[in-house]
Amino acid sequence: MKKHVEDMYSVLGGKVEREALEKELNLFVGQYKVSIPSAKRSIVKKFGGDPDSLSIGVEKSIGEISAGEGSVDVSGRVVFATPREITASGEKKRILSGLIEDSTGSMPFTIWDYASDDVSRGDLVAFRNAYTTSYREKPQLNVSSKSRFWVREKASDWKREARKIKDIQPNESNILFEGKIISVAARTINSKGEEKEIHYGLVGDETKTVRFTAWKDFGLGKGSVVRVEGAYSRERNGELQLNFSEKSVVEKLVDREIGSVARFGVPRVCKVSELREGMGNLTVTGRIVSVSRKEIEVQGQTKSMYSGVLADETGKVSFTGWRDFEFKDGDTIRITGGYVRSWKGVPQLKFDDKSEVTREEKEIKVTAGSSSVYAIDALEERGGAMDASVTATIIEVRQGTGLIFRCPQCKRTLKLGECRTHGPVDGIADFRVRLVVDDGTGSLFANLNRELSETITGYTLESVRKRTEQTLSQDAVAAEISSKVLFRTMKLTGNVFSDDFGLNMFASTAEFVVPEVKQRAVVLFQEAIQTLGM
Amino acid sequence: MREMAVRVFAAEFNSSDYELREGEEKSSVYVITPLGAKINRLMLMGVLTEIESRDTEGGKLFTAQVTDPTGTFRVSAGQYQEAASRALQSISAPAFVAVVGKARTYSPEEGTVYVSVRAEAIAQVTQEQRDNWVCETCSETAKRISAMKAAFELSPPVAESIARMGVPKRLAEGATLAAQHYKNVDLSNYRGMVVEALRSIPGVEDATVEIAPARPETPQLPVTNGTELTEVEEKLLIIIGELDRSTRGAEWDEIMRTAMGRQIPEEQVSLAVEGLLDKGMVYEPVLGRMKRI
Repeated sequence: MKKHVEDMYSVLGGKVEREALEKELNLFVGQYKVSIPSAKRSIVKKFGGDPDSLSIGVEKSIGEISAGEGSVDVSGRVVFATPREITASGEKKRILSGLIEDSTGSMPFTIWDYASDDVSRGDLVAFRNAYTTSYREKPQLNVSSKSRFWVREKASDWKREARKIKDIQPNESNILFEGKIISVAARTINSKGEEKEIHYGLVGDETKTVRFTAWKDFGLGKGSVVRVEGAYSRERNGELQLNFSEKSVVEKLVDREIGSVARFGVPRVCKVSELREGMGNLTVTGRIVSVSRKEIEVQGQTKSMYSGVLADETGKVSFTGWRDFEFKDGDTIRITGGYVRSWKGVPQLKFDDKSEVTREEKEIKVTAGSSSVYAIDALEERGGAMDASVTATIIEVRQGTGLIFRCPQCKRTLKLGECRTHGPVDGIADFRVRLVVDDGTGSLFANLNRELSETITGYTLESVRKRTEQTLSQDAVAAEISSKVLFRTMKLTGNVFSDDFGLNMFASTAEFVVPEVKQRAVVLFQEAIQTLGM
Repeated sequence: MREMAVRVFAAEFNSSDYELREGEEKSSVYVITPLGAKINRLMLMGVLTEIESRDTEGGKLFTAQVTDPTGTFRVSAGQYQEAASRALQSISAPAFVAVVGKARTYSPEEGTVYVSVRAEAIAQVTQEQRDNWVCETCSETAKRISAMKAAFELSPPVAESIARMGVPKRLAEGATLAAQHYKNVDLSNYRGMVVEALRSIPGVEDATVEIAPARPETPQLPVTNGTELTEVEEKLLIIIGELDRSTRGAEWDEIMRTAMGRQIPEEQVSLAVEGLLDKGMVYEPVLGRMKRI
């Protein structure tokens, strides 16, 4: 409310006390439910002021204005303005064109009938009933004879404010901003038969990092913070780019530090199956399969960490986040500005204070329990995956297959009756099968638990135990299993991790399949004879 | 890292004379085939036709011949391949078998290299399993042929460039090595081999004859490389060049006036200048001025 009172107070030139205005406003808005803008107009009129001079609640900010608007009320600082004489329909006419800006954007303007000399650089000028046209897909403000404008505030000691990069739109000119040079390189281009050196790289502030091109050597150095006046923006490949022209002024700011520069790039939209180690600035949409909160001590401070599993139609991924997170199982969310770090080779989605998490209304197709089909080389490239499905040939039954004993405390496999951690213990008998499967693109170690081992071999823990006791060795059982399963094709699903020896799958399902051959062969045959031109 | 079992036909494998040693103390041995398969371990299936045993200094050595649709693999198993040796003693030829083993080379004289398979495991399989292997091997061979085509088109072949075309990294490396080592690889010969191998799978040819379409003509799309200029853009580029006498760029108003004088409608001027900006042909050194790059 206070700013509205202040707005009316300044329009009325101090003729009416603030307290009186506030009382009026409360009456209009509070009691009679009149909207603030119309209440203000009524009050100003009542006290003999000009309601058109009100600014707050009437005006749009420059960033909100689009091309082709019929009646625009706006105000902004004049970045520059040049009066010119033109001849229109045989008559000489004086016009003023230039650029205005506020914190949300900048816009070229032309006052088509400029008789006075009121407007100068730095002035805060208000426009009423102007209209916009389009200039390079950007709105341009036209101030006709039907419009009004006045200087609301003269520029006595005006200092132009630097824009935030996030707020800069494409095709703006004469931009002032401050940013940190993240990277810079030089390249020679041919300009009108002349060799010309341009400098290009990345520049960013807390809000955004973009590519820039400097059309002359400003002596830009990596890591320095600069104030650039007179830059212009373009859009290339859907990305905002800043250009420093020969006339731009670049000043190194020694005392200014930008600590947390935003990550570069338009957030990349990714499906879960496309996530790879090291990716940053991602947008991922998915449904929360599970989520839990943990309190963690970080340098003496307690922080909340959220972790869980996110799924889309292509797969599942674990996530961890260090920011407030009020979502629960079943919610569909969009994470913008997330990044990937792998754990044991499996990509995990992370997000932090720089990321945004929002709820999505749209339904995501996630069939419960469905797993994603991978060729093994794709898993190798990825480093692993949650709930992956592979179909491959069993090429080895590994050592460790058969009867084993586990530590009753930690469940680790005992070696010669001893646990690595708990020493000699009375082990619990277990039966497992360890396989190497290979699909022609790569191989992985598959670990099958007792239930799966019993199903695929037809043995039980008891029969394995007896057989092992008879032969006094694990090998006989392993050899028998090998003779049953070797070279058969198996479909496995489970979580896949990688270590120094390769990929490991902890299988959640395992079944023998008879691969369909003829259809695949026919397709291959057709492709082959076509490339042969037969 | 455990080595995967490459699917490869006898004809391709036996044409290899390139052995590569990599890793710590050159402990990883690979055979690079003419199609760029990088083989330490391989899996093959075929008809076991012969088994022989010999007494050597290192004990009994079994050798076997396994024939696939393209040729014959030489397979051996010695005292250290106990399971494979045992299997070979229990199988009588002819029989469909599968073999997993390591690629070996031996060179009886300078310039001659023979390859063979040192078996880790051998077992009898069904004909269906063999057919599945033929199918898998055709698929992998076709991938290698495409990778080799790419490698031969690049001069010199660079693994990174081939990988960027969507070829798996391992194959891209293998194809690069093969293209450097084997100068004359007749890829169409290998394509023919794939066709013949697929023909050996029962029912494939019959199914194909009915539905084999005439080779579809690839429609010729107009090629635009994204920098081609429209007629108006070309005209404007000339105008901007002409007007740029001060080297500070041509003034927008002047461009507009000149263009309109040359019968280019106003809105087309704006559109064309936008186009030129996008294509990087001009830039705006200061507001309202255009300059050619």
